[in-house]
Amino acid sequence: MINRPSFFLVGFNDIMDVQVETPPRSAKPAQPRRAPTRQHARSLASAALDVAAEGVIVCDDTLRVWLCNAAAFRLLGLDEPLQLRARPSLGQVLAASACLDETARRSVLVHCAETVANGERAAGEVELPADNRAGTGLALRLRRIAPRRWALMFAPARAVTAPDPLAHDPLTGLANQRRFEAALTERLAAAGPGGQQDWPGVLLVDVEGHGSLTEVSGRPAGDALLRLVGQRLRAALRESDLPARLDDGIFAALVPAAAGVETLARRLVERLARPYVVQGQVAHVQASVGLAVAPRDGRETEQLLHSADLALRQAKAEGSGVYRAFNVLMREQAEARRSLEADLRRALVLGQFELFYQPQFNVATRRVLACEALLRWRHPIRGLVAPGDFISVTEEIGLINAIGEWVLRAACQEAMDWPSGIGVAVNVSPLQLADPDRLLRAVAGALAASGLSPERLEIEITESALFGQEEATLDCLRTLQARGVQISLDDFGTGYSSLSRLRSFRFDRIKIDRSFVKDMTEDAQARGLVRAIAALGTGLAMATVAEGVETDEQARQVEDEGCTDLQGYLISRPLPASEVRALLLRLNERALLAGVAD
Amino acid sequence: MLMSLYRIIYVSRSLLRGDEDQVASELRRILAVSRRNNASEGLTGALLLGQGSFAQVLEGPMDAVERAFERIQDDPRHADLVVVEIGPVAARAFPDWSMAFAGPAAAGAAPRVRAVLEQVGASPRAAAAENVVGLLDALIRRETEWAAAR
Ligand SMILES: Cc1cc2nc3c(=O)[nH]c(=O)nc-3n(C[C@H](O)[C@H](O)[C@H](O)COP(=O)(O)O)c2cc1C
Repeated sequence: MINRPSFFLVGFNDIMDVQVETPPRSAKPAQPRRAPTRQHARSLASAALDVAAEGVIVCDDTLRVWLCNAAAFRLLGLDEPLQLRARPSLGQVLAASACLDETARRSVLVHCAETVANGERAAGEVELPADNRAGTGLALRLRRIAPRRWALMFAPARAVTAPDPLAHDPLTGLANQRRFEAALTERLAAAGPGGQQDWPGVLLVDVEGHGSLTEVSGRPAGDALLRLVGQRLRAALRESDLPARLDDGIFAALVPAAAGVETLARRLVERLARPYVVQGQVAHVQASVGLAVAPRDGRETEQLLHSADLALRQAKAEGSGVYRAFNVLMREQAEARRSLEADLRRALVLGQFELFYQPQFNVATRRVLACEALLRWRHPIRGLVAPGDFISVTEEIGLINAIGEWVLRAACQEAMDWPSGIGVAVNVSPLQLADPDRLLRAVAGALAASGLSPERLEIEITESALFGQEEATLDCLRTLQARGVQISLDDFGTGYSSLSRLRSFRFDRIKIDRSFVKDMTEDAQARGLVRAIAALGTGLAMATVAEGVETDEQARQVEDEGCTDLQGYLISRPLPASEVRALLLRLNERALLAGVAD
Repeated sequence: MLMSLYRIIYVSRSLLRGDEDQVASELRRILAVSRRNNASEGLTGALLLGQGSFAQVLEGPMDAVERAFERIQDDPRHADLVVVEIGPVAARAFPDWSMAFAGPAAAGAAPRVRAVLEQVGASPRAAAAENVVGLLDALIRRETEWAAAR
């Protein structure tokens, strides 16, 4: 505030093209001794301008701003002092306004540029966006006041209406969730039984990518990007559609008549994905859109939004930059999923999990050396469920750690019933490895509770578990190994197999994925891979287990290629815990007999 | 208010259709609007249409560049816009032009235009950016000379 008067004065003197010795800077101007000078007249004129209610901006033919009075500051909501000495362009001055949105700013600018170019005086009005200090509109007049000098004068055109802070998202100026839902409810009611209006449609737009900009360049950059997304959303919609921002990166549009929503969705996906320029850098976002139309996908606000949300999830699951319309299948899937989750949350308490075991056979000793524990879920209605059908869900809903701990305890306990030389292998999820302290506690607890010696426990991890947090994960594995626990690498050859990983950690065993074993009798390449992995194992002093061995032919081949252990239906299918002891005795007896026969 | 100079360079696929006259008159419209808008925003630059592509250099205050870009990306007369470079620059490359133009008249330069556009997708980007600026600069000169000679 203190600075402003001097800016105006400098501007005012310059515009009159007169020299000024010392522009008065103090609040109390020096008392004139003689008759009023030109300078004094100027400062009076300037003071008068500053108490005027009308906003005045003086600019030249090229729309460089020379002067700006106090009312102009107030009406435009200019919060920063302007460096008028640098003669900013009118575009820049208007851009600093808190009251004008891009559309309003452009219309003022175009109006001025055209008037000045035609040398005419003109008057007009601009609509202001809702929710600003200057009310809903500004009346503009532009007049030539001197050769090549123009005064842009403006005043509120209509009464100031109090903006409703409860209805707007302050960041983008779009409707907020509350307002959006209220508008949707109103629309649905108007279209309902006896209603006259068309049924509306809803688009939910999920924007991803602004988070990484915020991370790299800070919150203001991320916010600026979201503001641009809001602008593009508004621009892509029709006048009658209602754009909104519901949450961080979640935007929405209410479309009063559902016809054409798919075209709109396609357009949105395309437009929002175009590059953005934010704070001097390029940014990108991906937009996914889910859409639902009444009354087919819901007659009430909540249901319609839920349908749109399911469609949005489907779109996101299919990759970025996709739009999906709701269909009934999505609701059925969502319901199936919800009941699966509810059942899984109960399963542990109800004791519905059990372990099956599959023996691993050592080629050299002709004996079973360990059994792999395999999780099964016995549900009263679903029956016996294999892990492929539920493990990923337990991972998503955060149950995997609790279930993993149960598996460790049960496996160690049950292995205590077996002949003392036979180990037990337990699969550990990448999510368990992501919390190394908890895993280490779980392993120690299971060993202590059962009394199993650590050498008989083997932890199987997949290559994907090593992805991302490699060092912390490797530290955890090293700690386990130091305690005597064996560590093996599962499904080798299918994931992001990297030989450098085999160097950074000394696994006790590598398990060759069943797909190679299955193909090797027909496919020389698969056989070559098995041979190479077995050789790798020999070279690095790691045991190699061939998984999925089903025929004598396969058994002979993997032995010939140098695998140290076999696992698969040829030895035995996975069996319930109660049958394992008998199986082990039988298998090892047979091995003994075979040994005698040799 | 940030007054430092920024420059954006992009290429896009032209969607201008029709015969030579129709394309030329649509271009004139784009240029007239650009010149009017850019002058009032303190922007300068150059635009090329060749090989079915636009290449544009736009320079000025950062926020003015951002606002102009936001309008341009929404223009249905082109698509598949790729930003080649954006960043602060020490000086304007086209200080005298609110929007200079190098168009079909510079057809003799087709091979060079093609080479520069092809390079845009490849790395390093910085080299591509300098080449676009150099190309536009050269073609504008040629065009003015050509106009002067007539
Ligand atoms: C290839 C191309 C380049 C353009 N360059 C500019 C430009 O430099 N400045 C500009 O204001 N508009 C430019 N436009 C036009 C904008 O897209 C948009 O139509 C114009 O800014 C709207 O201005 P108006 O609101 O004053 O009519 C360009 C359009 C195209 C297709």
